Amino acid sequence: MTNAGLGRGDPGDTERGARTFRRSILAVLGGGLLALAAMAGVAAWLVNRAQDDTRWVEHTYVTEAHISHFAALTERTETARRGYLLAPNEIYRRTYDQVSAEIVPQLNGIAIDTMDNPIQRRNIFTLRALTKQRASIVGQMMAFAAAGEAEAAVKAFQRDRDQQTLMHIRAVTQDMLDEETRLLKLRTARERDNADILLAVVLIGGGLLAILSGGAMVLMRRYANDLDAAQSDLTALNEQLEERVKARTGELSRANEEIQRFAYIVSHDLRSPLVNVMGFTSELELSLKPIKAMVDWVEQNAPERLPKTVKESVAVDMPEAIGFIRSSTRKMDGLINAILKLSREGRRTLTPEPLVMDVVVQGLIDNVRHRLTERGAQAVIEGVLPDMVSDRMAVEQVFGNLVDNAVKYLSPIRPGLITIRGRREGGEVIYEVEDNGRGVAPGDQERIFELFRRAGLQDQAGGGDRPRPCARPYVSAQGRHRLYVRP
Amino acid sequence: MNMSTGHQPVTIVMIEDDEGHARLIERNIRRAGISNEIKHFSDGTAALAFLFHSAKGPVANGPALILLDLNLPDMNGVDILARIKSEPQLKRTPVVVLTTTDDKVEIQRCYDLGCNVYITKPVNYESFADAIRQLGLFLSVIQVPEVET
Repeated sequence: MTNAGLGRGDPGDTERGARTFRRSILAVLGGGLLALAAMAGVAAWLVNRAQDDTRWVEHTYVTEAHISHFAALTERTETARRGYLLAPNEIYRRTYDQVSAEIVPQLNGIAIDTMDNPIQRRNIFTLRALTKQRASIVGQMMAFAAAGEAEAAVKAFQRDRDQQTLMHIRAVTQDMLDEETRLLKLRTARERDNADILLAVVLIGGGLLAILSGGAMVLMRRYANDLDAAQSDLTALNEQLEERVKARTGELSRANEEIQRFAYIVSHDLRSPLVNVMGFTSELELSLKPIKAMVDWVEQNAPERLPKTVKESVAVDMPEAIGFIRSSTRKMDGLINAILKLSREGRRTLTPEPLVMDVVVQGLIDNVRHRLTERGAQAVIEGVLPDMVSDRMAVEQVFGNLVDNAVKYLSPIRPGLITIRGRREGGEVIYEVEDNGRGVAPGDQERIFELFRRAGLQDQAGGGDRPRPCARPYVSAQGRHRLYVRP
Repeated sequence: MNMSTGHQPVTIVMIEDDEGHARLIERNIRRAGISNEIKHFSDGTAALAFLFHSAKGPVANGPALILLDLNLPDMNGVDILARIKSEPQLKRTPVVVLTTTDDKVEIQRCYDLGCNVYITKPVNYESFADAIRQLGLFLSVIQVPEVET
């Protein structure tokens, strides 16, 4: 079975994908952060500039107001002058004096306001000169009027020069106002531009952020999809694995069944001819009886006619041959029966149940009680055996065989003692069956778990008296077995 | 000794593929003093043909006793047993199953199907011979039913 169609399940692929994803997401997030920082910087700069522009616009408004005020002051001096000329009242003169005193400081203020503008500086310069010129003319006229020379004053008024100066002042003032208006327009436009740029920056930045977040989302989705795919691949792989395990288990149990069937059939088919061997051996034995009787008769009545070889054949060789055939057949029958039994035990399904081991083992000891007392040996359970959940028959078989073998192969030089103990160690239960019998040579230690094997001195060998195999099929099915041999 | 019911002698039908076993069984039956005719078949097909269709077979011609081995080359003895026991004219014919199997499940199955006696062929020849002799005694006491014609 191959794992075709699982290309995506390659772990290297997934890892590489994860690394790419991490790098991409970092790039996207970094880009977003940079864009945000740039936007904030540009916005701060723009806001700063807008504040600047606003200050300039305000400044322009103030300057404009100052210029207007200057124009108003000039007009008021004119009004006061004219009033005084018509009626030389002290009130007009005081008013004129007060107002004209304000004019120069006002002009100075405007000069400070417009210091940065060369055009306005030139205008201020002109205005100063004109104002000064006018102040001297008007001052002279007022002096005439004060001296009662109204004629001269009116005449002086009517002279064109002063009017021209005034007109000139008005024109320059208007120029200055125009200049400020032009600046105001310029600065307002700049303010508007600023707002536009800020809007553009915010829009572009927002768009960029949207794109980056979109990209991040796409990446995340792709990664999530990859993860999902990997997950489903893993699930599929798991299922396949389960199926594979099932298939293998099936194959194994099939193979096992085959072996058991084989053992069953073999033991069967072997028995069949054995029945014949045994049966016809008996037939031979039966046939031998009349021959023997005849040989006996000849021996008694005519011993000289009886060859010695015939007598030996009938009396010794043939019975001996038959005896050997018979004992061998019996042995073979025992082996075949053992195979048959084993194949049946292997076929048994194990049914685990809670076992009180003290009771189980004590029962097994009681089974061999009479053999123990016969041989002056004893078997004891040391302490309390831990209980376990297992198949009763299998456990009885394992412990029974161990105890049985221990009883069978006691050492002739010391009184037999079989000790059974157990303990819990982590998740395992360990049972020990110890005997002080003849022991097992190191080379034979694995062999004792094999079928029909026996190690060491064979003095107990009687027909069919065979140590039982340590029920390896059972032990192997449920746990591990280990053999410790102490001298 | 000759077993019979009324005037008709009981024919022993032996279905056994192993020639040696057949010979041993026959010898022991004779040694037990039973002189009935023994018809030997070494495969199931021939045996069934005789049992069901032969003019000399038990269906047409008088009572019989069947010795049946379960391991036959062409079919399973259990199937033969089932067929005998499901045939109205044969089902009362005693069947003795003689085989090497001592499997409890198989023995149970044979009894369930209606086998009258189940004898395991032991390798120990003495007990085998005993079993056959006892079979002889058994044959002499069984009541073979009248075959309806």
